[in-house]
Amino acid sequence: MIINIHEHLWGSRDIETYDIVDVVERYGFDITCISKVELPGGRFPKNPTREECNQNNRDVKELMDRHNGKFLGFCLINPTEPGAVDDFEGWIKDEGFSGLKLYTTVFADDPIVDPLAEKAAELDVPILFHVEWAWPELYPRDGRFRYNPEPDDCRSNGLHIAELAKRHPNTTIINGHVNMLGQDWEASIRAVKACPNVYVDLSGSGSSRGCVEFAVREAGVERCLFGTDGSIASSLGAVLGADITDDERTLIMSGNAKRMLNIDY
Amino acid sequence: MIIDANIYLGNWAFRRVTGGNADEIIRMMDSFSIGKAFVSSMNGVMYRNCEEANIELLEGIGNTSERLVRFAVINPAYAGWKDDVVDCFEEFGFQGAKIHPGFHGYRISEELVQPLFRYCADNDIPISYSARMEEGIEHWALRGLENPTGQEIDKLLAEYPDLRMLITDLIGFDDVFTQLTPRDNLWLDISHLRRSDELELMIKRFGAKQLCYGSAFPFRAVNSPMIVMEYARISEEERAEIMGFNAERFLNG
Repeated sequence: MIINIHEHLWGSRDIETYDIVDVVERYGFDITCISKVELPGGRFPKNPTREECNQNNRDVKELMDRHNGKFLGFCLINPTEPGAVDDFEGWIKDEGFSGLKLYTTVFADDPIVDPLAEKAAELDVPILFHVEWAWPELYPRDGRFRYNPEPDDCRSNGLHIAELAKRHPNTTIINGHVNMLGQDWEASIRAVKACPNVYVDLSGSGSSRGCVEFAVREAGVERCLFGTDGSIASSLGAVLGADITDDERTLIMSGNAKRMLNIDY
Repeated sequence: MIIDANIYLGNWAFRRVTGGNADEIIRMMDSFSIGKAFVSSMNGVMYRNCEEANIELLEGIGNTSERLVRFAVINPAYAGWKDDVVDCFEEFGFQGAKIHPGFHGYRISEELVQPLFRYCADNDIPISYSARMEEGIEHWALRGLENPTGQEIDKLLAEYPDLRMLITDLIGFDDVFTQLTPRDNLWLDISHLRRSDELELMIKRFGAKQLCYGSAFPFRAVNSPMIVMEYARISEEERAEIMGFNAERFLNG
């Protein structure tokens, strides 16, 4: 069984319009956790409005309903918008979403995140953070990557995640895509090593050899999760080719996610 | 025969990278039924005098040289590089040149470095050009590292139509990819593709004949490009071209 902890429903970027339904069928993912962060026009604003987030979540819900059981939704919430906690609770309890997606509106350890973290613990669902670890003063803002980050958007790194995790030891947090190309995955994993409530999402375009083994060694295999975030072959190849046991691979590919998401089947 | 057009031997300065020796490279090749690999020195990226890295490569490859095709790291902006060229291609049996302009501090458009491209074009020496080994954002010592542009690669290959060039380590959504003009003397390796549909897009843009299987081992997981190929919706002819025939054409013309 393969559970993919991190994928997206994309919108309009020309290179990222892969069909997620085709992807899960082509690569044989049994369950895919999915959120939508992109707004119409290929925008990734720092502050999506409440309605923009909810529309994205409605799009995910529609996908979930169309393909019963294959997709688990992670709802996008802007923590600074009014009604953030109520909306989060509604998507989980009323619409059957399985987690919360937080992007680059605020850093993970911003106090404004605390009510959401408390609610996540109460609802027993994880928070998946967009995490990067580029040496901050060098982070390129020249649009070289396909998406154009806004000036001063808040790209959390492992230290931000660790701070939040320590404040909320009962909240499950996922340190997103450590193996993204150009990221220091060693720093990212080491930063959360001492946080038992933080899982390491191994997705990423980097496919760096050694990353999976390092995560297993430092964080423990039971905190490692398989995800793809658009880099399907890179992420799959990194786990399938890692120098780990078959039992460890099974935990990463599905066992840990099943446990975390309370999946029985 | 499967050919891996992009393998490195040696050590890396910025993180522990295991497997960069001939024994482990051959073991990896055997496990994936790879018959031949184009190998260059990882150390040559960082050494000021990369000729020493080429000598290390020769020493390290030993009697595996039939399966490991040697590419000499050449820095045409460094003193004495012309002697390296004579040594490597006329005496030591290297079959291609590997260049790292970003790390070696030059741009391929500079007049200073044109003699290398003229020499390779005139002497049928293919050039493998690594677009990136690591990003400037990955380490404070790499700040200022510049990546190539598609325009300068285009201009170079138009100026030297007899020069054969393979661009390695190019990520699928990189702007360089969209700036490049398809041409018969340009090949691209697939080591950094993220998905099989990216390969299908590259085939539409460049043609299957201009793509080469490459893994960037030991930096990247070999399974990744293998998975790209496994799940790609392409013909068996295209698959065979990418997995080996194209690399032979790049190497031997």
